[in-house]
Amino acid sequence: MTKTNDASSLHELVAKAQNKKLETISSFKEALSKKNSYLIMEGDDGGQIYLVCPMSLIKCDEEVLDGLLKKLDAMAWKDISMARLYYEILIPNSIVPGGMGGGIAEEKLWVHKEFENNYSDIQKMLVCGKS
Amino acid sequence: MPKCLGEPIQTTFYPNGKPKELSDGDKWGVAVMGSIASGGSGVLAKVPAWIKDLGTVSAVGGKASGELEKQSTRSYSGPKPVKVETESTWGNTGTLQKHFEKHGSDFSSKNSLDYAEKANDFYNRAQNGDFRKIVGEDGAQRYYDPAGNTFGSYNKDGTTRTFFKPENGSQYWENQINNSSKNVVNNSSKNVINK
Repeated sequence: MTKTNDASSLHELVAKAQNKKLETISSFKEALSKKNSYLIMEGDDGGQIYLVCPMSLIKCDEEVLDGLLKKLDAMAWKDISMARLYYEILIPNSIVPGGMGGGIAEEKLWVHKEFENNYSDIQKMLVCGKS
Repeated sequence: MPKCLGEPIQTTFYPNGKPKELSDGDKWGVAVMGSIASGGSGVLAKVPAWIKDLGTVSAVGGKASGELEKQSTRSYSGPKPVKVETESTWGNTGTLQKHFEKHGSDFSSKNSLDYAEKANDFYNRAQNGDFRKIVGEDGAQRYYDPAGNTFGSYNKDGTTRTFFKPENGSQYWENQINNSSKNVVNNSSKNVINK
């Protein structure tokens, strides 16, 4: 089982350094009900943000998210011990801190450029629970 | 005084800047890398026991850092000798090259070993307590230096997990503020008042 729902240490450290409040959400269920809540998947302990997606677009269940994280990590780093998914309240169009350019909290699904060719497949999994 | 790897070597291994004596049962010899003498960060390298078959390896060059000089006295036709490098400070050496490829440019690193060395230096500086720190339940230590915008993640034993400069959003917010300021200036110059 991958690490899920853990707050990002990188985000905590960056937020403290910038005197900003990091708004984390501890569960999938809660994230679905909160406004401006986002799903974030990362690898390499924050060294690469895999995807950022508004929770309002997520229609699949947690198991699908877990499987997707494993797939993305197998493509990018092959070290699932350093990959995780979590939920945060974000300002739309703000930057999600991370290595390799970080991520962006858009109104639609955002994926790292390494996964651009897989965008539609990822979107299908999140929206329909299918790959 | 030159030493041979075939002889017992009283030496020190610095995976995290804190000296740790090797036990007699340890099958690894240790050699000092001369090129990394700076600041006492003491990057040392492991040498597998079989490399003794290569002949003598002398530490020359005088100073504490020493310099490694191979003096092969016998021919060797086995596998290519392992790198005697700074990889001992990297947790999972199999991932070092990929980390260098993805994050090395953050630090203008010349190669994977240069990158690993910088990661280890960052860890050693972090021990002074200057950086922000979070320790995970698994003992992983994560440090962030806001001044240099540098993040390092390390195993419990001090070996590196990852090391990079994150996009932290600060430039994004500065741009937003600057754009807002420009709009205010432009609007005021045109005497535009939004109500």
